Amino acid sequence: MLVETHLLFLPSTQLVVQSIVSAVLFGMIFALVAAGLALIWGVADIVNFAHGEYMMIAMYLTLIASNDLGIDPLLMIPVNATLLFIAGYLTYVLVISKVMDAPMLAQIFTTFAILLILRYGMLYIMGPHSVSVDNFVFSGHTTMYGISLSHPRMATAVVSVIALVAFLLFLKYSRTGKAIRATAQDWDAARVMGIDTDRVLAITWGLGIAAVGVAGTMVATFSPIQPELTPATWTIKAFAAVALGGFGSILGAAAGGVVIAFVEHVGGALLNPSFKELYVFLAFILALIFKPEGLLNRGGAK
Amino acid sequence: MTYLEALRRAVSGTQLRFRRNLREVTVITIVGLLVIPWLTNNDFLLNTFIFIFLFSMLGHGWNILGGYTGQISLGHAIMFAAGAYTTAILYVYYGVTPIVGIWVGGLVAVFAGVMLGVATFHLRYHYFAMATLAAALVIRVVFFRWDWVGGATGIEYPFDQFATLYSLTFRGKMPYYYLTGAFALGVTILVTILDRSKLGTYLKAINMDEENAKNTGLDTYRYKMYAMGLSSFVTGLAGGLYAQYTMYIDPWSTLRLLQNIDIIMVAIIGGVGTVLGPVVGSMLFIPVREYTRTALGGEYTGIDWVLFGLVLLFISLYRPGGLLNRYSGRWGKE
Repeated sequence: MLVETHLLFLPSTQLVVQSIVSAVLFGMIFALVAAGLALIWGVADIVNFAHGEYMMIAMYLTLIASNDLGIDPLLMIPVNATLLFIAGYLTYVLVISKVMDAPMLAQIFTTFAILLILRYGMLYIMGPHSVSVDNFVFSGHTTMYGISLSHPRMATAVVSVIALVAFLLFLKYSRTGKAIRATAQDWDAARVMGIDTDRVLAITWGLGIAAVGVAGTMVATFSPIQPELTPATWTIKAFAAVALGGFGSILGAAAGGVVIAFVEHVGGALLNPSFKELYVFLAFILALIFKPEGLLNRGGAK
Repeated sequence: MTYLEALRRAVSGTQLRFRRNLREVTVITIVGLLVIPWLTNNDFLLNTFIFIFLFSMLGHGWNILGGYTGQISLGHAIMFAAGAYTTAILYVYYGVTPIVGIWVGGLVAVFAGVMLGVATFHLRYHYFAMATLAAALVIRVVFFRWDWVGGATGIEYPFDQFATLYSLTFRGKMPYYYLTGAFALGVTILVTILDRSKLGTYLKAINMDEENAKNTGLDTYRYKMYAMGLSSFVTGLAGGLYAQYTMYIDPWSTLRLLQNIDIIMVAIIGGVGTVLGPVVGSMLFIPVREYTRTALGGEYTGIDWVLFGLVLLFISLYRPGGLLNRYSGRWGKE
């Protein structure tokens, strides 16, 4: 009924290799998106349901810059990172800071409200049609041993890895990064030590959203954009990655992103490709039910 | 005291004053609702009221688990769909009258809810919310591809037995108005009893501090399961009634992601964890939703959802307990 005869059908080696290649390339971008979500979750202890919506905004900015103004998506990376950093910073200052001490219900529905406003505001402005970026400096694809390598996806993977490494190095070595980690560990202690936790949280939101800004810019080069489907898909995948990797662990979330990419692409190729989103959701719910503390973590998550 | 004043006091007052005026407000509201279909046969108005009744049931259902017990579910569309699909499948495939089917739908919803509870009740706070959301997404994908339940095309009621008592379908909106109204009233009475019962107190205790409730000897898992069962039953009944009213169900209309949000909007606008919250919430939310849907050109302009987003943001920031709640209690924050 559900998984049909596809189990009996043996996919060719080429198909499997192709799906592994896709999984690796997609894994990098999932890792970046999930890392942004995990940072906000871990430090501010708030689930950002509107994560995919911010990503969609970066995608639309890239689209407008590329199709209407002729600016290459590659040049939009720093622009979008800056703009989305500001957007995240302002989101915290204007909205999230007011519910930091509120009941959890209020926190959940605040980010849900942001989701509705951004998603449907964008739907109102851009219309419900699916659109895509026309020009990108790395277009086309190379075929190697029968495996097709799409240039935009490779560029995306490379940019994602660079962004992710920069992100991790910033958190590890910069003064602000240390302040962020201190705040994540113990809020009150950080405050006592003279850290302006409010500002740190605003920067955390800015960084988390800037990460999806970079991701969105790159994804826009090969993936069509639709205001309802695009953000929903990416938010869920990021949630799944964070659930797999352990809440609050950024490296874990990035690893979770890679796992999710494998579940989606290799699972899709081996089993029934039309169910690949189901495999992602199942991985998500199984991770939550059986391993809520994550794959890498040993501590409690509750 | 005038009706309006009583209503105003009821909404803004403390629980004590609220209770004093409750009887008048209730009687006048019920009498008013009983005569409305005799005064007008405006389809839009009656349709709006039918959805108000359905959504007060859904709001009550969510409120028992989310408001009273503090378990924020984002997956109540599962139980709604369980009720709707069971009723429709029993009637369309097996010829079982929906008079029975609706109740069976409620029980199937309870089964679905309990399964969901078994899987997710060891999770707290947003982890529970996320797990229920993930479950709803899984069920949604499954229903879209599952041929036996009609896949993406859904299930349509046959027209040859239309407007018979056996099929529980009617010509015109008035019978549906009374049917859904009676169910909504019944559920409201049920929640009133729950609110004053020992079980209600246990559930509120779990909401206030689950750890503490457990330490004082309350079997929190069991009582959360009771709340889930009741909540699912009410949601499932509403699903069955919805199937009867629209005579057509598909995964789009029953398992949309926003279906979960519609239900919660109703529950939190009025007041989380109060008896009349979902009723007031659906009276405020549904007319606006139905109006914007028709007036602003359907679902695809999106501007109505921007509006609801702003309302939700306002409530979350300034009245996190909803409009009926004066105090903002704690819903699960450590």
